[in-house]
Amino acid sequence: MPGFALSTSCRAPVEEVWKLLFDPARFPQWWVGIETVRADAPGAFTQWPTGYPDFPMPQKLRVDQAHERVTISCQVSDIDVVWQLAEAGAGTSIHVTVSLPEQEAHRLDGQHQVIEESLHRLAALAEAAS
Amino acid sequence: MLQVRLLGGVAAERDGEQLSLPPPAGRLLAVLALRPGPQDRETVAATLWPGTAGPAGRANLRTAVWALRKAVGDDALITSRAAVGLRPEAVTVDLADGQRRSAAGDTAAAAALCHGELLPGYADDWAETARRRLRAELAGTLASRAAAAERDGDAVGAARWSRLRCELDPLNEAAHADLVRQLAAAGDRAGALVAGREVTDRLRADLGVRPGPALRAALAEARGPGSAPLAAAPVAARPLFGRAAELRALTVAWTAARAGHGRVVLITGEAGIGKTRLVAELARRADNAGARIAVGAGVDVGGEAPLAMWQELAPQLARTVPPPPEHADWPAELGRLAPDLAARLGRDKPPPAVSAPELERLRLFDAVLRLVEWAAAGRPVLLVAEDVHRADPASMQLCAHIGRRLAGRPVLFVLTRRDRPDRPAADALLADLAGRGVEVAELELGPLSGVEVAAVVRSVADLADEAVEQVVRAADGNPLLATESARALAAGRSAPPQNLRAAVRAASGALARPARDLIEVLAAAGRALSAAELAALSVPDRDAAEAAVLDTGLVGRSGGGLRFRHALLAEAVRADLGEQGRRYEQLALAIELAAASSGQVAAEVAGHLHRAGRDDLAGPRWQRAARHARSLGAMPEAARFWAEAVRCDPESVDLRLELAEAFGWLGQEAAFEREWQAALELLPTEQQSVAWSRRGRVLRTVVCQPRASLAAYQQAWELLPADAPQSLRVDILLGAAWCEAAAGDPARGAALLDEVASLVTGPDDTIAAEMANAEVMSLIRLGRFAECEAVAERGGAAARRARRLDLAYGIWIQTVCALSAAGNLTGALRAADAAVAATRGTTVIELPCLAARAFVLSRLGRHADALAVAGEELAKAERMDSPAAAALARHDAGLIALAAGRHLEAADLLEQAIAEGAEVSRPAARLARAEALARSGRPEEAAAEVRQAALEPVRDGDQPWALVPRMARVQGLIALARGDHALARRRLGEAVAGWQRHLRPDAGTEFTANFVDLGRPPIVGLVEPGWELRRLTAELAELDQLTEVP
Repeated sequence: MPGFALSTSCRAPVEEVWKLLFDPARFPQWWVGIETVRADAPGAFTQWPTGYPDFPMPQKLRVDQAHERVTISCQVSDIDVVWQLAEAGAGTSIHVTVSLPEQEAHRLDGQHQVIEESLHRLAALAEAAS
Repeated sequence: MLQVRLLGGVAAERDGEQLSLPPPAGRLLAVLALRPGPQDRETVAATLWPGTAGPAGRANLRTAVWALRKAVGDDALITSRAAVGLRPEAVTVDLADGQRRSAAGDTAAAAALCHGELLPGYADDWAETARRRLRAELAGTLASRAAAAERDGDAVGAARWSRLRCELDPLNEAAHADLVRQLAAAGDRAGALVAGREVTDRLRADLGVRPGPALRAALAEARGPGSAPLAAAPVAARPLFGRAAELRALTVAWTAARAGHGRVVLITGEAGIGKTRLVAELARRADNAGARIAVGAGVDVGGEAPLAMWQELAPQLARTVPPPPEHADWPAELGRLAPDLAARLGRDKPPPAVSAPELERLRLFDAVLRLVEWAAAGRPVLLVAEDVHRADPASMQLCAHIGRRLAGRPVLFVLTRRDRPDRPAADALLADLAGRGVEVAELELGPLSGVEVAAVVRSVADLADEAVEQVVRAADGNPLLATESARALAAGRSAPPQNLRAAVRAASGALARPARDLIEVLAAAGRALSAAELAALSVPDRDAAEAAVLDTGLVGRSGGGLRFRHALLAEAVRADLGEQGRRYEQLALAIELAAASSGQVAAEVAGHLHRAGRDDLAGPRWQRAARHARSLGAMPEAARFWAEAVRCDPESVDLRLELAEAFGWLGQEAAFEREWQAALELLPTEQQSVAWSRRGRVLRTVVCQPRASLAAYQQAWELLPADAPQSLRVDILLGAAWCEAAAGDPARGAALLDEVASLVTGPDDTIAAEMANAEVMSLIRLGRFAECEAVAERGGAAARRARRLDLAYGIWIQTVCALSAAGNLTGALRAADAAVAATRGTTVIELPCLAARAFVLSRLGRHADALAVAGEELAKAERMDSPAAAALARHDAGLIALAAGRHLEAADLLEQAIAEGAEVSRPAARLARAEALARSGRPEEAAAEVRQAALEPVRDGDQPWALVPRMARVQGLIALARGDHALARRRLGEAVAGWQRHLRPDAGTEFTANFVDLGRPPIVGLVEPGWELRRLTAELAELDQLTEVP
């Protein structure tokens, strides 16, 4: 299955990153390409990509208890984005793994670019909030 | 040197001159004198001015330090930018001095601490905490000094320390029991009785209660022999040879136990080594001291009925107790164990109907515990469980249940077991008891010495010295073997038998029929046979046969019946029985004929019939045994008995379905599916509807899989024949309605209930309650919360009449949730009251009802009432066997304390609940604790707790979307505690924005997700964005006011 992994360090404490990661309503503030988010049932939400107001993309946010990972799965494209946070001194180490189904392999480079930029924006937003 | 006084009023003097202390300086001096040395300025400021943190607090502190310096001078003070304090080397404080001298054994100093009030006139939290801490420390010191004096044989000194302890805590029964006991030991019996009478009067006047067991036992002892009626003395036994050290250890344990320090002793040793004899000696002594005594033994012959040991123990205890109070419901519950037991305690009504096996088990266990407590209320109790290596698992569980609650009761629980083979269940029981703070002692009996064995031999037979020596050599320190060998030699044998079996054969071999038949049946029974059972055996010329059996010396009288003197002797006779099936058949039928309740003996009878090769007769008895085990909540045994019944009749669909259900209760899903499938295959298609309907019921009640259950009901409906009975039709519709309401389409659930109503005019109470249960769930799913109360009143009443506690609980607790979610707290309280009333006495379901009631009271602002109910929940949870329930109750109590503004208490309770792994949202519990810490002026600890909350694994049930604004709010409170008002405003605003995003009209869906995910009614963990927003608005307004202060 095609995919990639990225990491970054953030000066914000882990709770600041945590709040952003667990609040889909704030995804548009840091996740590149997401314009609007609507909370559905608990643990589920729908997002609309930037420029596509008529293209709802239902998502699932779940937590993997064993590995303490936050997984956000797109219900349309089957792309899984898995986030992991760890304390790093006074700051936070953020790790993200993305896996795409074979039929979405052509989007690998694009996703890499989007997630890399989102990762940095997430870190910057958390730092600004702390 | 500055001398500071905190007891009897805050004051300071230097060189004999009283110093003048303005109020701010006095308060600061008091806080610093509680702990001389440097203290963090921020902490001191937050302690003294908890509502004025930050710059204002620091400014107040600067002013107070200035005033204090002016009053006491520079040399006693430590001041820096970060710290303020008193120099330990320049100050003496009466409190610390008194504590030090008390700990060193100075009673005058201890008395001064007891009688002088600490920090009088100071009502602040910190002063109250200091007073509480002093009382706790002092109580510990006094208790340990009293215990030390008692150990040293100084009863007068011990009583002096205990008297101070009683003055410190006038309602502490344990302290008064010690005082009464120590005064009596010091020869001051009149003083002991006066002290006892005074505390008895105080307990009655202040609390409206009678003295507890420990105090009553101490008073009975002080009154001397004859104060309590003596039980019938045990049959006089032969002298005890050897075992002096072991008997001494047992006597010490008994003395401690009857003084109210209940404990457990395990006696281990090889078969025949003298365990029973040693315990009999203790029982004789306890009997002379007026104790209540009950002795039971494990039995592994026959079908091993659940709780067999307690069926022997409990009736003995019940025979000795006074009638229980009229309002007590536990005597009726004991009827489940043995019907005549309830009757003996004055209860003629049958126990409430069976609902869930786990409930039955807990109710019965609690009833037996109540019986033990009732027995121990007037006199000390000696419980003896012999041969626990042969006991059934349910009996062992009940031993553990009772054993865990002995501390503080005048009960000694003695267990005996053989050293081999290993019995992990017994080891686990002891480890568990020791881990729960119960005193557990182990005595290992080794072989007797040659001299002691010779004494045993001479006590039973008049033999020449040479013969005695022969027996001693052959017995190898085992008194039972020595006894039987001596008897054999006395009967004319030329040499001691090679082993016990040979000795027993020598004694019994000469018996003629029918005495021989009788001894063989008695051996087959493996337990005592009652007079009624002996009569039912129809032995010809019974009196002569019994006399001949008694003459062998192997058997003794037991009540009106007979029993082998030792289990090993019975085993030896049984080993020679071989395949004599007729003995077992004769025995089985006699036991059944003589039994008051056929269910109670069904497993034993079935086991004997199986051994007799009569599975045709055993099958129905296995079924009866399984139903009886189910009624006791003993599901492993029920499953085993159903499996035996299936073995006897493999083509029976009903039996396989029962077995499948038993596996369901045990959580053995694969076994459930296997047996259910096997049952289905035995049925032609036109009869399969019943099986599918039963599957649906198991899946919705036993294993709680509503979707799978719905599928089963749908299949049952499709296969339903046109001429199906109405009861089956109603079962299917009702089950499907509940499943739709819980996890499917709630509107469809309501429509199915309408169909049920059209089929049944005037439904019976059980159906009415089931309908209401499903209807409440439907209404919640549809968000029609307000309508739940009327349905609950109707259904709750029907459930009560049907004696279905489980249904009453479900109906009322869901209604509390619904009305809380609707904001109708007054209605929710009414429903919570009804829930508590319906479940009263059945702890496992009463606890969540108490939690709900506490929460609703808290929301109504009735904090004192809420704290009392949370305290009741905690006390009852701690009484249960479940550490999980206790941890949960501590969590609930922590939240109630937090809402009541008791922040330190809340922080402590939540910390314990988290450490104990309470089954709640851990991040949410940490955030609640962080709030308590922030509110207590400990912002750094609060911030660390927030960090931990973020690092906790998050589960779906934790509802992370609701944790985000909660975390922001707690961060705001931390900022407030640090005096950073700007940051506080920003964080609280962040929380407001978070909750506003979650304000949704479809609260029903959200509520149901809560319900399913949290695994218990979500009243305590209910997420309410509207309420959170109102609270935040109020907090922001307070912040505005703070900011306006110049």
